[in-house]
Amino acid sequence: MAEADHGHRCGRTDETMTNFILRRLGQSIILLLIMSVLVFAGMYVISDPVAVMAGEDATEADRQALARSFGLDQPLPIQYLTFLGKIVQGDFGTSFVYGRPVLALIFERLPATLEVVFLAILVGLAVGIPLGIYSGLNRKKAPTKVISFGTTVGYSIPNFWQALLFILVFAVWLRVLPASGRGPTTEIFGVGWSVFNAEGLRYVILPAANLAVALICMQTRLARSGTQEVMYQDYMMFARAKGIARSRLIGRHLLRNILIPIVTITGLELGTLIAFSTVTETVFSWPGIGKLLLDSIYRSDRPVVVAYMILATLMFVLINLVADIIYAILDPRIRYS
Amino acid sequence: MMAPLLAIEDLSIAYQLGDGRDAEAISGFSLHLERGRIVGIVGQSGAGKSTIGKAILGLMGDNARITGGTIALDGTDITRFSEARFAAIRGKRIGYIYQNPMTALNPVLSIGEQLIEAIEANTTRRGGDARAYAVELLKSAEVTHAEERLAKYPHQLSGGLCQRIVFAIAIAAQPDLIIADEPTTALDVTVQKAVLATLKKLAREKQISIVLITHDMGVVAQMCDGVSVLWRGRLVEHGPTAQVIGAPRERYTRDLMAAIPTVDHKRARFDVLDSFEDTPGRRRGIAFLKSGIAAGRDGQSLLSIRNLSKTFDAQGGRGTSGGFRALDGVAFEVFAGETLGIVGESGSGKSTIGRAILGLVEPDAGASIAFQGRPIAEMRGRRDRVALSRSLQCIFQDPYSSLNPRMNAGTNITYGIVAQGLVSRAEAKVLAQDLLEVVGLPRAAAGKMPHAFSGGERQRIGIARALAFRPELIFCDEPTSALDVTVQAEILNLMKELQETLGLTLVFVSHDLAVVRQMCDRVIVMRAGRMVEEGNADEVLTAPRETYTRDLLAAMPRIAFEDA
Amino acid sequence: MPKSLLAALLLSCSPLIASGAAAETLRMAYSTAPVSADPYPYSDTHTGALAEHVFEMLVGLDDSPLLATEWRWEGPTSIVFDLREGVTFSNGAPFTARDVVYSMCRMMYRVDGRANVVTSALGPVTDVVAVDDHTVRFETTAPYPIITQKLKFLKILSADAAGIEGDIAYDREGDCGIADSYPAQADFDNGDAAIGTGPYVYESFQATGDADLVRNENYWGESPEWGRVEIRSVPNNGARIAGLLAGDYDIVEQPSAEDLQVIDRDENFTYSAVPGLQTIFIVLDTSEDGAGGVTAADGSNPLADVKVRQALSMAIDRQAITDRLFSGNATAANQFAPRYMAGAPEMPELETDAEAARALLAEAGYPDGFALEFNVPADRYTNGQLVGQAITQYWTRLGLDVTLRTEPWSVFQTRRTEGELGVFMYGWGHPQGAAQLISGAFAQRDDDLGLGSANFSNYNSPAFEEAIQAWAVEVDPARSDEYLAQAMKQAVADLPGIPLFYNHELWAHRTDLELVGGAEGRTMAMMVSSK
Repeated sequence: MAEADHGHRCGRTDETMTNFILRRLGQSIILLLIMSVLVFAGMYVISDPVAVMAGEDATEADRQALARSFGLDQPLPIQYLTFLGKIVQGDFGTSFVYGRPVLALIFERLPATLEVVFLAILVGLAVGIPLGIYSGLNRKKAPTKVISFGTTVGYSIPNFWQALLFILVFAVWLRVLPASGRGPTTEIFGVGWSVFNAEGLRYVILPAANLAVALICMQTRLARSGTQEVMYQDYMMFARAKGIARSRLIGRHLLRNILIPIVTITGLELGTLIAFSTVTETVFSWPGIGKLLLDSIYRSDRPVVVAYMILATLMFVLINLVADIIYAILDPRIRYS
Repeated sequence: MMAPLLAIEDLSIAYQLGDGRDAEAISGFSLHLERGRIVGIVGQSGAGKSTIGKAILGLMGDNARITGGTIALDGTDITRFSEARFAAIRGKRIGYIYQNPMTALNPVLSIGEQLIEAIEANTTRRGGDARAYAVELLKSAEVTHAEERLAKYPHQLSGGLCQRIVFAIAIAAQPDLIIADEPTTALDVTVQKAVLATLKKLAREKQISIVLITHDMGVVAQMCDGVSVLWRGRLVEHGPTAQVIGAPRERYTRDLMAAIPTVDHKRARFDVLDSFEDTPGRRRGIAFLKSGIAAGRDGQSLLSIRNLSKTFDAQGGRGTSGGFRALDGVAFEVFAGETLGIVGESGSGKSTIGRAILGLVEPDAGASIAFQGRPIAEMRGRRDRVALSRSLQCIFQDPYSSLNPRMNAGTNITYGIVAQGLVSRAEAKVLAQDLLEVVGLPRAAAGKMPHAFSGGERQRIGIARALAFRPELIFCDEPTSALDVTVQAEILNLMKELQETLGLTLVFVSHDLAVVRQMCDRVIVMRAGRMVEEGNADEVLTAPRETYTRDLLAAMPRIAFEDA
Repeated sequence: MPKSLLAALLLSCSPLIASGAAAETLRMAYSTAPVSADPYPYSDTHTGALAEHVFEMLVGLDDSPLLATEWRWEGPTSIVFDLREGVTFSNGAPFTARDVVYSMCRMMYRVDGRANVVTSALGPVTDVVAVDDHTVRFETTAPYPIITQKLKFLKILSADAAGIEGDIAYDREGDCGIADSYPAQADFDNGDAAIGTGPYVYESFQATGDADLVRNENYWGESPEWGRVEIRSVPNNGARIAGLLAGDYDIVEQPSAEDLQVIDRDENFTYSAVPGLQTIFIVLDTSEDGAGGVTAADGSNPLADVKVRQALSMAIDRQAITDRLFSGNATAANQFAPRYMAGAPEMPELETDAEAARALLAEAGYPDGFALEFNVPADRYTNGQLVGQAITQYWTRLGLDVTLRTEPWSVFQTRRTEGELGVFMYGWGHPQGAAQLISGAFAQRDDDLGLGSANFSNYNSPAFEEAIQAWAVEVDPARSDEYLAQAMKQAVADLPGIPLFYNHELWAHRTDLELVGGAEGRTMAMMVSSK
């Protein structure tokens, strides 16, 4: 049937949620395997950890000992299989550089990344959606033109320059916020967070704002195009015909509909930000995992890079899954079919 | 004499075009409506009927404005009202029933929320009180399981149910005036009858005035005290219903009535206002179709269905408990060259038959569907599936969702046959344009995207796509029910012409008995999954044997034609 | 945003500005994060710098006495150190010879097969004996005069703190019968094992490399000026200088040339420079059988001819590079060790003469030049790429077909180790003395003497070998310097590499601070005082 791919009368959607999740997880395992082979082989080809790590006065014996201690004296396929075998047991290996378990390294830096990314996402949504709705509703008004100009500028200035600009304005000229680093942390559930104390929060603001700019621009655009599309739907006109308050029309009828694409794209963006906020983390010396990745590539710390990419892939898979589930919650048409 | 509730005087409305110029949509329209009376506004699509309805509610788009005249509600001119003042009368004094109930309700909010918010906005009822009233309203609109329905979402309900909910919303605050814009177009005849009866009762008992916007003269005849006929934004004729229908003064009114299919007698063609131009492209297209469609085996059994049953599990169904038997022992033959009609109300199983034939639902064990003598169930291989899909095409009810929105019209028509290697990509382009001409659209339409077309035009694109396969049999599932009457007339004429010139075999599923009468040689009447009557269309629809068929026929709005 | 709200925000923040810099606290920004508080496994500058606030060595980085007050050779293979008396660790335990033996044991012990900072370099040590509480004797397999240079990297740990009782018998594997008691890296990072004799003690160390230090009130030497030191790592140059301007840091290391212009304009900030220990030079593969990326019409390796190497050297205007690219914050090189370093011989300037260079090239049989690939690590040395471009131009003017190839450090380093690079730029520090570069990069490989571990030039000169081997076993300082001078002169005459310049170490800081930096470039709280 030529129509089977879209006509809703012809569609076949008898797959259960559990099946769906299992199938997605199955696919992701294959994805993870391919990913790990590529990263593993790529790191092997590009640089030799022993060359990078052995000192200038290292003897040949030192180099061999170092290679042995890293397991690099084995042929690559054996190294890979050993690595896989350990992963199955939950052991992601030990960093060449830090001599510590890779998972511990990643997880002790994860909270720093999470707090800045989530703050940025929250700000992005809280600012972007209202701006987008406003400009979608008032296409010809002056503030809309300002917003539109702002999002264009926000998109076109590279993240890196924005970061320096922020530092210059807020740290150097105004001296209201610190230029870099992470402030004091407060322990919650055994993990240190800096967003939960006033001094720590001052340190989070600039990196979070740096990430938030692109998010605000993106959310504004999504909300604006969503608004323009939804406002022309019959049900919006019918809702107006019912005589309901404008706040309800916007806050409920409009918002619920435009949230659907926003949730999907924000989900993807969340994954990207968590895994690859390297620029922001580097410029602000924010001790998160993006910086760890960059340092590890630079230092040829293969276990960290490989484990990192595997975890990042896993996270993308999970985020996509969660986004799909939220999508289903927001859109009853998907939930009940 | 009391001032009329609604008085429209010399109303003109203009739309601003993309280049800044104004295009007049309505000019010099007047209408008077007393309390408790029903007035019809009829005309073709594009005549401006809905624009008038929206103007009364202040719901015209940003690009439309009133350029002259007044709309007085109880003596107050509302044409200069602000959005806030309009908001104060919408829902409370003026209710609105929108033509397409499936799109009138917000797809992501529950029925309950959408109904209760209207109640809370327009009455003093709040919370549990509002909820109880919502249930009461649904019951009065004859919605079964009213309590349960509140938690449902629009897509879980049938069009008829959605329309009743829209209806319940419109009358929630007992308004003085209801604007009903094509309120029954999408409904089964029996539902339509009930809805119309309720509207009439409201008008008579609660003294609610109704502006009934419709293309259906039958509805007008049955409902309206007066009628205004609109053509290209101008009022061509108005007066008491009996006079306008019984003795139309204007040619346009007569043409409009001629386009209406009737169940009482069959005509060769509808009189349409515009007929297709004969062009080289169109001739080439028809030649292409003729060259591939095997004709001349009239009378042979093309499709044979035996013992077709289908039981749906409770979980996949629409809230009914236990297994639901959608089809029960259906058996019939389709002979080459004929048009077989399948009629019945929604839920009678007529669409399920089609889906079983097309392989979209798995029939219960024991069923046999054979195409050209071969059971479809055995046609599993890729080659067989391709051959089957070439021979068996469908045209859908909803022209909006059956086209791929990301492909232009030309590609929509030919991507299937290109994918199956029936024509080359290079040939496809010209072919798509030829076929567009066959269905009465300009060649240039091939480059436009689906959203740029009206519903009737999209349906023609759907027909062109089905034809492109040069199939032996086309399964038409309510192909015209979303279209207005003059477009429907064109489409039906087109299909008749194609059937006659190409020897097509059609299975025609519809709830509209009049359409079936015009189109079909034989007819099957379905009720609750069973075939209740089968036979020659003329016989079944003029002298039915079964009570159910008689009830269906009786429920249809009719007009007494002068020349009948 | 309404004006009043912005004003309110500014007001609410202003007390924080005022409280930003407490006089007792020194805040320093490093360019690279220290890896760990464990002073043993990691040889990088920043891990070392952090550790040297807390731990001390027998011999200071500037060759001055530190925990050892004096040392002398008692025979060709035996050196004795007198230890400073009255020194206690931060946990109160007295410092004795036993701690030196313990620290040597730990240095030699490989965790998971991994060598520590100077495990290999101290390989020739056969025994370490605590003669008495304040005397310790090192025995070596053969004469090993540079042992004092190597011991600059042995940070002294407390045996008591590790719970060791009684005497410790040294062995070359570092087991010493006490391997089980060595603290793990985590014990250093959480502060439990981080007990040294230095002027500061850890208050906290984060896995991210951030560290807070407080004054060691029991310090044996002069009590440090700063009660508290906060070390943060800010790898991005712009952010580091911005942090200084913003008042987040009092001193930041390695400002870039552009940063210095900013600093010059602001009277609140200034910078301090000190000639550093790093020599930037070019390695040339002199093998007769060809060099990677070097192609001549006749198939020979032009770099095997000393005339060609001299021509390449003469084509380069070193003074122009240090003046224009470094604004004077680098010194033109005339040999393979900083000319101002102790032990570096007096040498003439290296000539710049493009005409003579061309003549030499023609004389060597390459009047039409040849093609070479010049490899420069992209992200390793200050102005590395600019220097690479400048040299490419000089050589192109000479008539060579030069391709500049810049690659990330890890890739560059791998290819270098594989011997694939025929011509490459490199930097070599000299914390272990003026002979460090030539003994490692130009000598024939001899693991016992610690020579030639990185001889990618494949230089093999009998005269040079004789001098450097004599130097390697000479324990008399004067004669040692003489051999070094001989070897250096030979290397500069033969040019298995081309010396370029010596980097200066730079710090940007507040004007009200006085900074006396060390040539090794480590950023230490002890070198900063308020005016």
